[in-house]
Amino acid sequence: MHLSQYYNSFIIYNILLIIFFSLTVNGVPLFPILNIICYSIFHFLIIYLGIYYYRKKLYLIYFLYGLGLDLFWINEIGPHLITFMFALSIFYLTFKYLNNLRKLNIYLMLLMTQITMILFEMFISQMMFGFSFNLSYFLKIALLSIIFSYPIFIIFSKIDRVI
Amino acid sequence: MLSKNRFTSATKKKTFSGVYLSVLFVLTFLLISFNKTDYYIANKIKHVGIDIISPITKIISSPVTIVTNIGLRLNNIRYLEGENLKLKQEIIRLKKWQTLAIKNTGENRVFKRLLNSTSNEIEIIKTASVINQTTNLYVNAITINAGLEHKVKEDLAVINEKGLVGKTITSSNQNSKVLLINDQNSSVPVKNLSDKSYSIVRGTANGKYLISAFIKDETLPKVGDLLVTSGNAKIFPRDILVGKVILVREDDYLAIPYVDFKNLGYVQVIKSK
Repeated sequence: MHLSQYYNSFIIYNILLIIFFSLTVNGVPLFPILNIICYSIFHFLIIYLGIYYYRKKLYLIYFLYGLGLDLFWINEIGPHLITFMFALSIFYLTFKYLNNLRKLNIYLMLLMTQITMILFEMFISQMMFGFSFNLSYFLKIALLSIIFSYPIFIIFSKIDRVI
Repeated sequence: MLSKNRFTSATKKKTFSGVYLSVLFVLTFLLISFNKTDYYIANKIKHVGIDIISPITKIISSPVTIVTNIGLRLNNIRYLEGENLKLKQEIIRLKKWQTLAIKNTGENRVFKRLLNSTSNEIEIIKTASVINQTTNLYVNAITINAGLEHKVKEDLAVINEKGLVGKTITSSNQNSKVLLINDQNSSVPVKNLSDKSYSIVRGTANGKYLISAFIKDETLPKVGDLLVTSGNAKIFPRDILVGKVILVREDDYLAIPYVDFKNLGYVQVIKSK
């Protein structure tokens, strides 16, 4: 019963994931902010999936999206792939402790995880490939994440409830 | 018997999931290490990946692109009348220039023949359309629909009607990735048209401007000076418009690129003849 209930929303989240991934990698040059917003929402969504819909096939999904983001955003393989794979392993080890948390705390944890993941990606890309750490860009992403994450979280909660 | 079967099935499932996870993690590390060590395999993976993902993402994001383009077109219609007037004046001005250019071309041809000089014209390898643009904190690049099948390989200059766009960094059979000149990792040797001084420019962190990375003989340009490719690097043919100096500081300068990177529709891959 529970599995069938989650199965449908899992598919919806995956459709959303591919849409946001496409918008992230296919930039609209006239509105670069759209690109950053989609990048931020994509991260939030992938964390949400990892925490609420953890299953083994997510490793493959994380692997493919990590590789895809690396190929399109950096043209090198590494930062997103390694961050995504390790993040999912960490979610697996910790998500049993999240059941006791309240909704707001879970939201804050998701937001913090998202910002930390983006920060890690930037650090890894700096260490591995020498991309300079752009603080203003990071702050922009963090700010957009804060603005967009709560409405997105509410929408996701609604999707979970309805489907 | 039933419980034994169940136990065997559960054990098999557990083994499979263990192997599956191990394979994925091993693959992750292999890909990362190949990217650092084996240029050929890493490039092959990048080419195949981009060739597969690019059309899919393009189709999925096309509604957004269409809506954006419609919005832009509607916005353009609002200013149509004013632009028409401006264009009429521009046509008159350009006609005068055209007459002068035709006259100069004829003269040039005669002088070249007299001097017995070799031509420095460029060879257009392929005109391609931009199928994907990546403008983010890591890289400023575009993907074009021309690749090895069209004789487009790595390290070729890419231009459009306004000037230098960038250089090809990877090429698959159908597509190529072009690093734009406004990327922080790009490096373009330029010549100042007014005093013939040489320098190297690269993109700024926000991708809006070009900043000098090296100035030969520390000869700083003046605001308004035009920068063209010097031809010192074999990749970029000489005398292609790069940018205009807008700010000169104590030991570097900022220039604004001629190319509008937000409106890249078609580009040409070129090389020196």
